[in-house]
Amino acid sequence: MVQLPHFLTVSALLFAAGVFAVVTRRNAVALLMGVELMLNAANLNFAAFSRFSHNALDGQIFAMLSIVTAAAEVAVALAIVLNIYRNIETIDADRAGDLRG
Amino acid sequence: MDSIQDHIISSVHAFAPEGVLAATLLLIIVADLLPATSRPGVSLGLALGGLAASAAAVVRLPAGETLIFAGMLATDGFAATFKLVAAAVAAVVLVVSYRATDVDREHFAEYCAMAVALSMGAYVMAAAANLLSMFLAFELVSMSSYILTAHLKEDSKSSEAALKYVVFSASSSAVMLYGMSLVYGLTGTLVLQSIMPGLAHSTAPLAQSVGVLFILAGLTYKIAAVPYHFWCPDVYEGAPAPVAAFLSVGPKAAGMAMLARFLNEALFLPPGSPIRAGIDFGNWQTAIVLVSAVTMTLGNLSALRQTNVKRLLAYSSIAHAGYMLMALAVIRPFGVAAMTFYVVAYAIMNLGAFLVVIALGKSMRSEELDSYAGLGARAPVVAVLMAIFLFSLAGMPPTMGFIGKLYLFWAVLEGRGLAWLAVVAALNTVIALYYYARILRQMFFLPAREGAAEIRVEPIHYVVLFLLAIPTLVLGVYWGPLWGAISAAGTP
Repeated sequence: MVQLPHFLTVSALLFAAGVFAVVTRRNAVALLMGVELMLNAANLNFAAFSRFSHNALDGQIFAMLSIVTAAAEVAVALAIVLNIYRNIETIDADRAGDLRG
Repeated sequence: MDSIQDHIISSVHAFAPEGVLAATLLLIIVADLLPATSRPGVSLGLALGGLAASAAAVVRLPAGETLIFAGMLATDGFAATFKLVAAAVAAVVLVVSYRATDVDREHFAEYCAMAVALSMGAYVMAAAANLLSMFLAFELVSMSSYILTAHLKEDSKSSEAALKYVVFSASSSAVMLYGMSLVYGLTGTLVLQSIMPGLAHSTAPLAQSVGVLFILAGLTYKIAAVPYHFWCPDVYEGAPAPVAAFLSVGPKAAGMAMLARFLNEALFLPPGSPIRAGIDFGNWQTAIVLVSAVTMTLGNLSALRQTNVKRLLAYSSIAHAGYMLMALAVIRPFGVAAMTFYVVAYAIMNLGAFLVVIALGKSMRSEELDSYAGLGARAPVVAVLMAIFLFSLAGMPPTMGFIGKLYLFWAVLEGRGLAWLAVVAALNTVIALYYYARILRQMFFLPAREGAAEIRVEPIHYVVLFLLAIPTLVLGVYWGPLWGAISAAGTP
C-alpha cells in the first residue's frame, strides 16, 4: 500500500535532483528543467498531504494553481532564453558573462 | 452555500484597487492594438490614470481590519500604506521612463502594462494573509519584473540580466513553495494566523524548521538580503536604468510588507499567549537579526569597491534592506512603524538617486563613476539634487533619511538585548558615508575630463527630480504628520 511517506520520499528526491541540476548545469534550458523539478516536488507534497493527512481540498487547489503559474513562468523564461540566443548565439549560462557575477 | 457566495460578493468591493489595475492592464493592451491609440503617450496616460484611480480606491476603502475572500487577503491600514507606496513608485517610474533613453518607445505599451501588473502584484503582496495568495502575488511580481528587465530586446546585457534574474528568482520561489508545502503538511492550514497553533501540535521539529526557513529564504530573496543578494547588482546593471530604479524600490517594499505580515501573523506570538509552540520563536528573531547585520555589512563593504554608479546603488540598496530588517526583528508595533516609515523614505530618496542617473544617461551615455567628474560645474542643479539624495541615503540631517534611521535605531534600542545590532548599524552608516562621499567628490572636487559631453536634462526629469527632492528635505524637518499616519495605520 502506497502511503504518505512514499510520496514524501519521492518528492524529497525530486527536490534534491532539481537543486542538483540548478547548481551543476550550465545550459539555460537544463537550469529551467531543474527549477521545474523543484516546483513539482512541492506540488507532489501538497497533493499528498491534502489526500493523506488533512483530507481537505486546499492543498490540491494550491498544487493546481502553482502548476499554472509554473507554466507561465517557463513561457516567460523560454522567451528570454530565445532572446539571448538571438543576441549572443549561445544558451550556455557561463558564456553569457558580460555581467560580473 | 449561500453564505459563501454572499461572502465572496461582499468581498469584491474591497478588491476594487486591484480590479482597477487589472482593467487598466487590459485597456493598455487593447489601446495599443488600435491604430488610432497606439502611441506611447496614450499608454502612459492610461497607466497613470489607472494608478491614480486605484490609489483613490485604496484611500476610499473603509478603515479597520477585514479579511476578504475567506481570509485570502487582509485589507488593513498597513496594507493600504504599502499599496499607496507601490502606486506612487510605479507612477514616478513611468513618467520618468517616457523620456528615458534606454526604454524602447516602440514597445512602450508593453512596458506600461508590465509596470501596472507589477504594481498589482505588489498590492496583493502587501495584503496576502494566506500562503496561497502570498505565492501567487510573489509570482506575479517576479514575472512582470523579468519582462521589464528583458525589455531591451536587442541589448545582450538586458537579456543576460533577465536570464540571471529568471534562474535565481524561479529557483528561490520553488524553494519557498517547497517550504510552504511542508508547513501545510505539518499544520493542515494555509491561513497565516492558524500556522502557529498548527505548528504547536506537530511533533516534527526538523520539518518545521526546514519549512519555515525555506519560506523565509524566498522572502529574503525578494528584498535582496544576504545570502540571496547575488542577482541584485547584475540585474540592476543590465536592466534599463528606469527598470533598475523600479526594481530597487517597488518589489523591495512589497517584499518587506509580506515579510512583516508573515513574521507577525505566522511566527511571532503575542507575549502571554497560551499557545506553546514546538519551536522556539526566539530563534526566528535571531535569524532575522543575523541576516540583517550581515546584509548591511556586506552590502556596504561591497559598495566601497564599485566603479559603476548603478552597481554602487544596487549594493547600497542591499545595505538598506539590512537596515529595514533590523526594525522588523523588533516586530512590536513600533518596529513595524519604523520599518514602514523607512520604506517610504527609502522609496523617495533611492528613486531620486536613480533618477539622476537616468536623467544624465541621455547626454553622458555612461554610468561609470568617473564620468561624473566635474558635474558640479557642468550641471550644478542636478549635482546639488544628487547631493541631497545621497546625504539622505547616508542618513545625514536635515533629510528624511536621517529621521528614518533615527526611528530604526530607536526601535532596535527598545528591543531587549539588541544594542549590539544598533552599534553594527551605526558603524555601517559610517562606511556608507564614505562611498556616497566618493560620488560627491567626483561631482564637486574633481575637474571634468577633456571632451566631456554637455549635459542636457529633459524638463520632465527636472520636474520629477524636484518633486522627489522637496519631500526629502521637508520631511526631514517636519515629519510628524507622516509618522502619525503611519503609526495610526498599525501593524499587519
